[in-house]
Amino acid sequence: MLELEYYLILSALLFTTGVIGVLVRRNAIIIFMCIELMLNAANLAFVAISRSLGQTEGQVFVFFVMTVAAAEVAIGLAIIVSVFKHRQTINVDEVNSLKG
Amino acid sequence: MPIDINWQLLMPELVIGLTLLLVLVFDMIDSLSKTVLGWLTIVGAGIALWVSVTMRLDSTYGITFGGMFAVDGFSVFFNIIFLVSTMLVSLISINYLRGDSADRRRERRQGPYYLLILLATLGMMLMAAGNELIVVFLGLELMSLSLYVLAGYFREHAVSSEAGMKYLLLGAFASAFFLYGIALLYGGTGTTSIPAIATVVASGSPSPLLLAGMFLLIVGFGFKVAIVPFHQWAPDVYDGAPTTIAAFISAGPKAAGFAAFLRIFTEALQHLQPEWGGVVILLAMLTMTVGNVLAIAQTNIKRMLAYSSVAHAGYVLIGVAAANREGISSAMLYLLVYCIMNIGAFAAVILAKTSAGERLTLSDYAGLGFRKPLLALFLTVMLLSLAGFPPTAGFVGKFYVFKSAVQAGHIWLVAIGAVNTAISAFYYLRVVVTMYMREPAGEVDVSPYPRTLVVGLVLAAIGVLLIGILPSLVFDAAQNSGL
Repeated sequence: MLELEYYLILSALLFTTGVIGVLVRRNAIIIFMCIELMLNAANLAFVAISRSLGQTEGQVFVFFVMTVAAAEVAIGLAIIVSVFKHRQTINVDEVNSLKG
Repeated sequence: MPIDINWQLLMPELVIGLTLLLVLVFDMIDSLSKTVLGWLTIVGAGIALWVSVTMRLDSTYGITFGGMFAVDGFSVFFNIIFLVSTMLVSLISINYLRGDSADRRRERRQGPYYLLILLATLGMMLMAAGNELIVVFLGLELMSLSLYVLAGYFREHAVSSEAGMKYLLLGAFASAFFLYGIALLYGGTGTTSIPAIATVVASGSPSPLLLAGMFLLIVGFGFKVAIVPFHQWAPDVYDGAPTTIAAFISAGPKAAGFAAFLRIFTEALQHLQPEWGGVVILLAMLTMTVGNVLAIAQTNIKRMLAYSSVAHAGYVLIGVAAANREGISSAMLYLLVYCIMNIGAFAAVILAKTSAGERLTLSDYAGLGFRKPLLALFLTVMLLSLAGFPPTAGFVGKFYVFKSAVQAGHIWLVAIGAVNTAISAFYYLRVVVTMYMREPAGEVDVSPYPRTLVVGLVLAAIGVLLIGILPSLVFDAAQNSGL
């Protein structure tokens, strides 16, 4: 079995990729996918840690997180569709009537 | 392993859960006026409030669900804050949602609105009582997901959808930080139970994983309660969201974020206070100053209130930074006071509307003091309270927060807080001056007052003045409810 460190490093890399994606990409759906990547990085950390501790708790949490992520996608896509209907774009730089 | 569940401790949550089921069922009866759903929400929240107050008086406290759910003075006090906010917001929503009688589609869509408000309230209650990080996370998500939908509720308006999308993207981003923080805390301590983390943290030097997790949690909370530099979403969301929802987002969820923040940082991570204390002090200074300075530049009243709510989060952080018993209870008192006065201010903004729509720019308020003297008076009371003038509740809140910081030795923090109070007086009073000293540009159109909105505003004003004159009424309760 691999050491815990390797899993945590991979998870940190995934999380960082997600953060950079959110900050760099401008398409709302891609930003949303990057956020999902961040959540999955946390899931990987949970599973790896709980395995190395010999507990099951961390693995159970992952199910909760997956459920929450699914709910978030359902609501998120609905809101993005409603924005698209008004503007015909989901580029976050172009959706900017609120500012000041 | 059988889990012993003490249902009595869950009474307020059960009442809210039952109410939301009733709202769901009554929404399906077509012949029923949708206004009933609003009243049902108010009654449900009122019963839950009454139950919470009795639990507070009888000290019905305990830990249940295998240690996951802690009902103590702290969570019950926060429940009272959430339920008061929910009742006030539902009260001001009833007329606001009905809108113009021509808008039949809006009339039909009231059911989900109240349902989501109740779900968000339930999420907040879980956050305050969560004794396990994963329960706190689930509560946070239940609250946030409901709020994303509510912010984008008027989907026929482009700005409302835009507010929903901005809130969703930044809120989900923050949740991911929060979750990763929990994962690292789990890695650093081997548990997610708050008391167990406290034991592990107290027993040895912190691992790097634990410290990294702690800072990620600060970032996650920072976004949720709109602390500078994580506040950029707040003005846009408050501006675009329905005004009642802006009032709601600025009140309950902010208190819920601080409830979870206080429980995690002053209980689980209490022994790491040297590590996070400095960061919180820095954030408090930044939040107060940036919030107040940016509020001066605003001409739109909703955006001004948004920046002012950012600044108020900074005052609460002063109490958190003190991190002693006094500091926690003063932060709790401040949150209660802030929720009441902020909802009151938003209610007054809604009431000031004309037949053409809401009065949102500052110049729209010129001459309001003569045309609508009573409304202007109530708005003045709310603004004076937000600015912290005696004898209003805002003064009492600031007084106790500053006092706790002095006791903890943060003199500089108090000095910066005092300077900020002076800065904030400028933009709050500017609205008052505009109302009473400036002539209106054109004819001021006087529309009739919707009754429920008036009741909401009057109740908020009574609350603000009562706490301002008799602070011991709630301060003793807050003091006995610290962690």
